[in-house]
Amino acid sequence: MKDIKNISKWLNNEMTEDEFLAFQKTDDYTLYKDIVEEGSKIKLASVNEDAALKDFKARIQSKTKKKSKVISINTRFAFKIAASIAALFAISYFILNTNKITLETNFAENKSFTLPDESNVILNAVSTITYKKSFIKNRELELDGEAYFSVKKGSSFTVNTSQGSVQVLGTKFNLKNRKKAFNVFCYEGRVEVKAGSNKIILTKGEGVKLTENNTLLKIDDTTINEPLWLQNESYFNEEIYAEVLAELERQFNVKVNSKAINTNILFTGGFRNNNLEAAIKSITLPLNINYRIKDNEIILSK
Amino acid sequence: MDFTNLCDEKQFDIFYKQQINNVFRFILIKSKDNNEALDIAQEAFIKIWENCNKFDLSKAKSYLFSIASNLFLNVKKHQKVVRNYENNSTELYIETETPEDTLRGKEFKTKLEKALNDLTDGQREVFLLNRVEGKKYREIAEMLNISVKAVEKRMSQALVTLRSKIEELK
Repeated sequence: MKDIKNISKWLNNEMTEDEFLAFQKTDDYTLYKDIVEEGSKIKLASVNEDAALKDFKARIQSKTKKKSKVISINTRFAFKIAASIAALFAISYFILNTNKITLETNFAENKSFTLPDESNVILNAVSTITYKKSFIKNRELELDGEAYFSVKKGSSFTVNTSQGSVQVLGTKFNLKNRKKAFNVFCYEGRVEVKAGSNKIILTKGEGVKLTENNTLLKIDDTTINEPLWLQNESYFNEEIYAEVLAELERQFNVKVNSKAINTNILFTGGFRNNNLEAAIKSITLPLNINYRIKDNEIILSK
Repeated sequence: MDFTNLCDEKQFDIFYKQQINNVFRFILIKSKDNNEALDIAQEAFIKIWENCNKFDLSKAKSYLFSIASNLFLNVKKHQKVVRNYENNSTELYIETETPEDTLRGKEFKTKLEKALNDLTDGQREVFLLNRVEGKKYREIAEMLNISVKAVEKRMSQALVTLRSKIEELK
């Protein structure tokens, strides 16, 4: 593909007659003409608007006020285990290690650090990295929170977390290890992810997340070159709503009271980390959740 | 801003009729199941109707798509289905035979539909929304809550993949 701008113009019907005449002489046109033309002949099913409206009114009528409450016991159990493992991890950290260096960020803060081996790491809000003084000999560190790594080529580089580990040689990747999320995304090179008994190798444009039933689910997206949080945007792809709220708390240093809503649902979408009210709106309105701001607390309700 | 519009049943009905097929097909592209797509589309409209006083008509459309895609996600989560990328979506498109459908044309169409299954969900979605639904990149970006640049990228990747897959099927 030679000229993406022109292809875009073509597919959006934004070409003038002259532009189109010139474009017809290009290779791009010859190559993709058939696909583009045949593509628009594909027919998707449609519904009869009047019949659908009738069906819609009937559904509204029969809708009872009964609210179904879904609590997945398995999920809660899994998180309890994850939490207790994290607790153990923390205790053993205090007992065993006195020789460590800690890098950390606070609420509403991103920071960039250079590690002793000249690898770069950017920490998202409320995140911690610890490594031994002997790091340069053995490139191994621990992460709690979210970080984007740009690893200098060399011996193996390992990031351990409470939920899994990532091993690389030289590459760029993002690792998010939060209470209700463990996601890894590879932006360059190769990354090996281990979580429980699962192991997977990711290459550029591939990502993976730990699901509730402790399996690794692959997510591919070749359209992004770096995590959106580096541009002050928090984006979620099918993530547990509780984690979305936790990120809001971290980015704006606020407290979210979510007792009245079900936070165990999945959410896709995001917010910019610079305007609290707009951020709350963009994650509550699509789910029909109401909010109220009182002092530093955001109270959510159905 | 006028918040009263959608609570007026007549105006809501007009909005509903304008948008039902847009939402229905938006979800159908994701789910490939007519019944499921209609259920989700209806549920999304119910949510809009129940909260008609909170939405300004100009915003209602994008919330409608956002609500629908989140409903879709949660239906999938509930079914505990890890999405299978190798699906046979071909049968779900209603084929329309036109007299001009030459043998060559038909062959190409079959290949194209096969090749569509090799795209990622995101690429296929963008391709079908642009080609079949006639949506401009800007509209697709709004519907999917991504940037226009990302739409452009997915579309060009879709075209390149389709071209090479069709070549393979020759």
